[in-house]
Amino acid sequence: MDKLNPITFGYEWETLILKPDLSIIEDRDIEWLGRHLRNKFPWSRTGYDYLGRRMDGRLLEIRTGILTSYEQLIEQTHLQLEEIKRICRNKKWTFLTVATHPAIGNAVGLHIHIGSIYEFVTATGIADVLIKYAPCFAALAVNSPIWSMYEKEEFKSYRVLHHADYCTNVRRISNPEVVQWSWGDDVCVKTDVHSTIELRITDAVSSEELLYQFIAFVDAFVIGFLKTNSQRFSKNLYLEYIENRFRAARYGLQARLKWDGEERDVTDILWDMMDIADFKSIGGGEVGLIKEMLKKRQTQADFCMFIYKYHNDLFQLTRELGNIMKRKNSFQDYLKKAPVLDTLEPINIDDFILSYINRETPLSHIYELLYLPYGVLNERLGKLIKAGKITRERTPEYGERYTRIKN
Amino acid sequence: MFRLVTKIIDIKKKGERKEGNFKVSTLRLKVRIKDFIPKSPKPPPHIKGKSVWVTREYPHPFEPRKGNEIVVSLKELPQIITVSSDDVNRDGHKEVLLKNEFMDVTILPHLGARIGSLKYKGREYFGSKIEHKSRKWVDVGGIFDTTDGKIPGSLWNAEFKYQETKDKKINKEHTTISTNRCRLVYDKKGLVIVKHFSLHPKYPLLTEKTKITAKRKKNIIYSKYLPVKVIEPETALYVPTEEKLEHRYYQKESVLTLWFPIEYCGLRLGSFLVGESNGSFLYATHKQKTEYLTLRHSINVLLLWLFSEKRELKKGKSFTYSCIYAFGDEYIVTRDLIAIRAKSPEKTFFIVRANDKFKGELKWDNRVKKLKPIEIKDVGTLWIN
Repeated sequence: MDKLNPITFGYEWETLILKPDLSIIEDRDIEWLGRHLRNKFPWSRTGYDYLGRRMDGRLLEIRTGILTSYEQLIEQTHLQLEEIKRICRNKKWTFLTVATHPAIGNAVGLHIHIGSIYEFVTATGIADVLIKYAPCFAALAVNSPIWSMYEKEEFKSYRVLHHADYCTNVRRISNPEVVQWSWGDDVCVKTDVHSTIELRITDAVSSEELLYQFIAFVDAFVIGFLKTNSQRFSKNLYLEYIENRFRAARYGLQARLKWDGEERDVTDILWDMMDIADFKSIGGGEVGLIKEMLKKRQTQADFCMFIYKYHNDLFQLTRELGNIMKRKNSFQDYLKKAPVLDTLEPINIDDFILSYINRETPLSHIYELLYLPYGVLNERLGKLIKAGKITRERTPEYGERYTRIKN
Repeated sequence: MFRLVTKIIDIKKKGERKEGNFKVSTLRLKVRIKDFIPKSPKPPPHIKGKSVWVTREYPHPFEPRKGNEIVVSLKELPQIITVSSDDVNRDGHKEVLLKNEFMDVTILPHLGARIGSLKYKGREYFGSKIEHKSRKWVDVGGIFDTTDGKIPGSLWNAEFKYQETKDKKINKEHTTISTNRCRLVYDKKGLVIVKHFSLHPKYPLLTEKTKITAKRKKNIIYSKYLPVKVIEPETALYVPTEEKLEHRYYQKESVLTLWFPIEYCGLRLGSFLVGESNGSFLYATHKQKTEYLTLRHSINVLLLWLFSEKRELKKGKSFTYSCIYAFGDEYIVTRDLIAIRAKSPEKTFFIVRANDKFKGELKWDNRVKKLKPIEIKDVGTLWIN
């Protein structure tokens, strides 16, 4: 087990800092806050990232230094959080840790790094099989069920559905002999800028305790997985990963996933993953909160929707979430009383694709729904044509377009 | 509709019920109004600082505390601003309502004299849309002008003054003006802008005329932002260009149109049409005042943005732009003609925008309709029955 040598980890936790009217604070203030934290805590790497595709504002990206133990994770995170909260109180800002600003609909993620690994090609091989587990972590982290006024409550992570505004994409697979740099994959190789493999798919968490447990779980799992891994990349693994990614986004911990040709509850898979996780190698890791989530199939997205039931306006919801996050253990308190949820039968992927096909819908629009490989997508679309559900037209100017046939 | 940012100064528990394992409390919250979302236009000054009671349900243990801020909508506080049922924004500002048998038009003088609402037979084609732009909340709904080629630009919340005309009816109680024409004036930042709106008494036809005069040298990129609300998936945009009749059906947004909007140049009739199964919206302006039209797909919206040519206005010089908005139930579109038909119980109305070859004979349902031309200055010819 020397693929990761020495064992190191870290994270980039995107968060929102809001003015009293719930708009994003000025760029210069975010930049100042990041630098303030780095000046106060020399090990901190906190800085900013962009709000999303419109680049209209900035996120505070809380980053630790290079971590080697669970204890360090808690210490470095807690110190920074306390300082951020203190500054927000003084400046009358709201510190909001959700995976999207409900009234804006933008992506806010948690990126988890594991290292140290320096060989790009070796890391690529690892990332190519780790994608199998990425949807499981995504299901556990779902926290963006309300994506502006237009999209809400059908998916527990609109951020994952929308590929985090193209900042967490279905991983592109290359032949190892000719592998190139790529950025923004769900599982991303970062050996060129750090010495890590990065899990980008996960929504930003709201709870400090869950952050610790989640990062410990991800890192301990990867370490344990690499010790025992016999998994090889295959087309089947890849296609299951893409469909599972979609199911995780839609159902969270209520999802059933395709797993080696069978259907399994994501919670069962996560229990198995917990057995693989080598917590000792990072000096421990308490995961009681995660276990409670698995038992009840409850997520932060369910908590957010619970609050939304009482504050059915996006601005009201945003404000209430800001208030709730000032309390300690809000998510734990919710979880104690929340009911056990059932697993849900997944929507048929073809039905989902069909629901987005309108008249003359370009192939590019359909492709962007799931990022199914073009060959696979074309095969599925071909079947829908044969079934008389859609028609295809090809024109030199617009390429391939599809039209749904009305019943 | 704007929201109020408030601070809780007192809490009284009024009741409690159970929902699953959760206790849910009904709380009376005394709140002090501190701020507004969006900040512009400014709500009436008497609102800020006012204390009011709000009643809400909260699940335990997520009740608010004294000193917490909460956001309150005007729905929760109808008593704060006296509004009429026609006051679509419920923001306490004087609005202008234009109305005929087919259309209800709301002009918002305090928001750049934009068309805040445009309804045909009750179907809202535009309406308010609060978005986060340039680190603040702005209303990018309705139809509004920009003079700098940016969204929301510098005019989105420009305050225009209403100038009275003879045929107005002022509903003093509700501070709303009902008429079928109005004139609005803006005089700030080196520009004088005069806008005239006129709703045809019978036809579903609204005319808008804008005159911009520079008080000092100004570069103007005049454009009109029209985010059309989509209510059915098969809504389509039709644009007759010099090359062909272009059309695009509504799609949910995609990364391609996000980065690169679809652009139409050479608008043959200075016109385009948004068509759906039971409705159609026709826009027309002078062909030479139209440089290009862009389309972006968004969720439930076709984002249309129409640009006139960039021009440098010297001190004292003016630029005029006129356009029409017409609506119908059905439509015909070709490269040379856009025709719409609006039906009322008494009469069927036709409005046609066509090229010079059109002589007033419109074939519809195998019958020929004879139409007569009307000339609208800076727009050109329309044909009506």
